[in-house]
Amino acid sequence: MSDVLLDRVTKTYRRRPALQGINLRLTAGTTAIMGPNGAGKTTLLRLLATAIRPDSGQIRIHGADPNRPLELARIRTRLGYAPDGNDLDTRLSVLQFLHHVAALKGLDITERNRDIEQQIEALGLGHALHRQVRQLPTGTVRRLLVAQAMLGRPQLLVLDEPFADVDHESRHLLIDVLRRSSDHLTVVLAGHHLNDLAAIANRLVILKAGTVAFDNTPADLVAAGLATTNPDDLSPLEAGYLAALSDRPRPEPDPM
Amino acid sequence: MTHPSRAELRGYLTSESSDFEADTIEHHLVGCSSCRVEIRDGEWTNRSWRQLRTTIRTPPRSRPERTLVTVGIPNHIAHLIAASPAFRPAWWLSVAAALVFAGIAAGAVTTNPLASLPFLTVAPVLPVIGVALAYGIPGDPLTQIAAVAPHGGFRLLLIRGLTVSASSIALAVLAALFFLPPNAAFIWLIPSLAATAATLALSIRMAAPVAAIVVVTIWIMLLGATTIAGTPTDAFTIGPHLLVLAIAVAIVGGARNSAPSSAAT
Repeated sequence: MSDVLLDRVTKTYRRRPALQGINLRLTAGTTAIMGPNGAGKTTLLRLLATAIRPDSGQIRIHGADPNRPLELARIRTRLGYAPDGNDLDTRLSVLQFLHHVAALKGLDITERNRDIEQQIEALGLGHALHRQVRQLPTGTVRRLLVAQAMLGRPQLLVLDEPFADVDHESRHLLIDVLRRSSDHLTVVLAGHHLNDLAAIANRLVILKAGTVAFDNTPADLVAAGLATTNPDDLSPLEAGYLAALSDRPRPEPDPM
Repeated sequence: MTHPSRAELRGYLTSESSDFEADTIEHHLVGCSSCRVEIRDGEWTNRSWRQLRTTIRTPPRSRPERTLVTVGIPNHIAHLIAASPAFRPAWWLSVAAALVFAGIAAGAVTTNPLASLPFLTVAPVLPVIGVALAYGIPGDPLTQIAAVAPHGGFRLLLIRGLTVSASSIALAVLAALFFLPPNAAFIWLIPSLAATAATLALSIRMAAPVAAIVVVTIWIMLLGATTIAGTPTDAFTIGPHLLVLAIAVAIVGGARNSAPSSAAT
């Protein structure tokens, strides 16, 4: 049984299709969702995070149907979600914020202390415990968003733009934490940072206008890039990405 | 390159540095591998971590939170109730909206008793709708996180609604006692307190939206009955009854109140 299954999923906003008949099977490991603005990345992530429902099609998360209230509750106890956004406008301190999210997740005191300790250490938030969240720099906010998503030991981690506008230190920490996490849970993340995403993902899904334009490993994207003409001297990864988004038929990589 | 002293690094680790110092040290650490090694391998780092763990395990708790835990409210629920005012703008907006509603309703009924029916109809739900509008800032990441958390969504809305209703009643009673000519504006907030408490209590047994539909249906039916009898304001007596019912259900189902099944929205 796959961890996450999307079957002919469609979502439309005000007559504008955001996703059109998406079929995906996601298993343990890290899947990076990429694509230009408006391709449907955030919509796909919000569907996986059970924040919205599809107009048609089916979603199964660890075998559970998010349309059924009791199964939805089960999914959410094993879900970590970090939405996009740099401006967490709250007067709570970092420590209060993490305890607040732990309470929202219904963690008991033992689980709460254990998980908060682990995430503060892993994501280097110790120095900011008593700072108000609204005053944190962007990189620290991104780390905090990932830290709160990891509370409660989720099986499915959904992260929207975790590397957007982050500094070098935060990027390094995030990549390290996500690499280690992908061993034992299903991570789905979206973003624009091709190199970062390719470095940690074992699968890349490129969306184009609400449809899947590419779904394979980073190595296959590199191979696709190498197989294209590359007049702009792009890296193979960038060339492969652009080829996936182009309307031209993509050449098959040479069989090894 | 000037390296931070051990005392400064310790202050950084234990969150005792000022914001400016912490940012400066963090910036230095990005480019200085020897200081990173110092932080990770130093013996004093272990001591700092022990201090940090103590801080993490003993977060500052407000008096209301401690009181709620003392009277038997589960830890995480007590935290969510006590944390509601921490989101100050939304909380004050909700309380102000509830008080304005109570004031308008009390004034309208004083001048025209027949005007009570529309206010009575919306009384149980209006404060909760106000809370939803005040706290539900579109696009706010915290709103989105809460929306998909097991104890977030509709259940969190009810918890905040309960807090706002209780606070508004306390303020309205104080205003009636000390500042305003005696009036019973606070009585208009009792239906929302009762209905929210009843919905929360019933949500132990069923999905929270279903519980809300049950409570509102009971309210409308009883309001219809009292209106037919010619005395719609008798519906105020239903509020305390609903509250008693909610408490009874909560006590009976208390053992299961940490189950997340009710948070399925």
